[in-house]
Amino acid sequence: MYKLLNAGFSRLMKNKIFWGIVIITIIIALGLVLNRISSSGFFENEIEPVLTNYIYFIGFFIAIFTSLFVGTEYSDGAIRNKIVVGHTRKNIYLSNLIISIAVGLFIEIVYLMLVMIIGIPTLGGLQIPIDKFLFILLDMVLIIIAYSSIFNFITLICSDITIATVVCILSFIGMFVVSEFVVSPIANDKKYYSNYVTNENGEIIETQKHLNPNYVGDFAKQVYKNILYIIPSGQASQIQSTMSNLSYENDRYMTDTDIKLAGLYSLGLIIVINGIGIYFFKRKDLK
Amino acid sequence: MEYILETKNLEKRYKKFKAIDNLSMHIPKGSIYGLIGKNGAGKTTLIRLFCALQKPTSGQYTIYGIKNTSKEITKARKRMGAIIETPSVHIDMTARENLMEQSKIIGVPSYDGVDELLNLVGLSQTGKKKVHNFSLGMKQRLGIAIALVGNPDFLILDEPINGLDPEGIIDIREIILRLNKENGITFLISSHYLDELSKIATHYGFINKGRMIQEISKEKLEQNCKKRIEIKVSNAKECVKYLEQSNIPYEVISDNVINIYDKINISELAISLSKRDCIINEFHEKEETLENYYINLVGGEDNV
Repeated sequence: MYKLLNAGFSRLMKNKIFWGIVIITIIIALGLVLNRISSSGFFENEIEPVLTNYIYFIGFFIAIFTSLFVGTEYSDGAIRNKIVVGHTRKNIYLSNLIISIAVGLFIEIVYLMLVMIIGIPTLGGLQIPIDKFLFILLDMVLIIIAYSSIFNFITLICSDITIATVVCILSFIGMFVVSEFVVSPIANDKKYYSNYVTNENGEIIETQKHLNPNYVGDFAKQVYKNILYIIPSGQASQIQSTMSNLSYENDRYMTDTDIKLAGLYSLGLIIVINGIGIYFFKRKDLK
Repeated sequence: MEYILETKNLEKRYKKFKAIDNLSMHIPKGSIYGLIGKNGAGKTTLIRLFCALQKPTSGQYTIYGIKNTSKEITKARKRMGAIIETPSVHIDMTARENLMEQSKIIGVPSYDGVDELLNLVGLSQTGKKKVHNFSLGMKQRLGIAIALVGNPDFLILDEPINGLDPEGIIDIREIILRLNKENGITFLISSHYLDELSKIATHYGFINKGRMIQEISKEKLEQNCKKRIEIKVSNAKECVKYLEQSNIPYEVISDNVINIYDKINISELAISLSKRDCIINEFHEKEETLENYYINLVGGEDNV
């Protein structure tokens, strides 16, 4: 495994796609933090939403990198060189996964560092309790690992670089769409709408209640919530919403328990996807 | 005889299609084993099995005496290299970077051998030129160099001269012969360029429809293909006596057919045999090329 990682990381250092993604990440970080400053002025807005903004679309970059970097192993035939000289398929699978995760974590760290270096002196420090923030960071790490697992799985099972790249990008978009679709019913947390009027004394009083047509019921809401938390983009979307609305309470936003549960969902997904991936990759007929 | 690779009743199925059918094969140590078969005969599938790219449906093979199902097979694989169909090279790297990358994959502690390998395959002057700018012949030679990283003593080359120009073919042939002679490397080479293969192979395996039709050494094959005179005589016993006395090499094919492997004076033979009450009924001069030999073999197989 060490030999595969050594070879993989040395190839990574010369990989133009990797460096391209790093540069794009730097541009995004600078763009988002400067936009936050310019829209609200110094020390008038929280830094939190900018810190977690990148996790919302990091999956796109992991999809592109993993499908092209790992896919090249197939198209150049390098994967054959590894198998012929006796490396096990499990080790080949895991070494590619580790490289993909390392790249995901690296670009996230680059983003966070830049946002903090520029953002903390201009927007101020964290307002969220530090322990809660650390749990969110842990969730973000697990989201990156989950994305890498999904795209590494697709690429190593597909074996065609073009198909793998298209499927990875479409999978990301698909996950993104699904998570946006299921978030709406969760946000509708009230069964009834209340009508309020102001009486003669100037007091606001409740007159009658209307049934909320978008309310799906507790059970369905729980199902949607589970779907949302299983999908990495769903979790990312939840984290971003929560960090952008720290002072609001709604089922749409994550509670402390949700933040801890999200990590467990990701962990489950990572174990299942990689278990299935290694099983099929071991049995796959290669050319 | 010590064998580097042996198979026993090897079979590979894709759903109902049998790509490899009950195949047995023996590659002697130090040999250049030419695997001959037409397109779709199963050559590449067989090589993919040996390289662990695919798993046999049934049967087994051994490399250096280690069964393919044993965990120890990974150790045996460290002593082999392969090029399957196209050379496995990173096209966005230089030749040197490719060799260094493979050294890391194998775990070779230093890059001391890289220059030597580049010299061996004639790519020492390529410098910073990326592989995507290489000709097919250069890529093929780099593929061989990559397969040689870690000093293997068994190389598998699948169609190594496919698409090469005459100069490229000569280069590859010379590299193979040198490695076999000087380094004692055993080769398994699949090809349908029979003439080219006949210039280097020491052993042959003829494969058709996934089955091994015949395994034969170069010497035996040459004997089978040798220029000969086939005579049909009325008295084979007397004819054999005469050939023995005259020290003429021969082979009795049937009750009245004898092959003579020498230049002879026909009139003299006819007169001498006639004195022994033996008449020559038929006379044919025969010579088979490797191509004919293969076609006869495969033709026979196809007619079964």
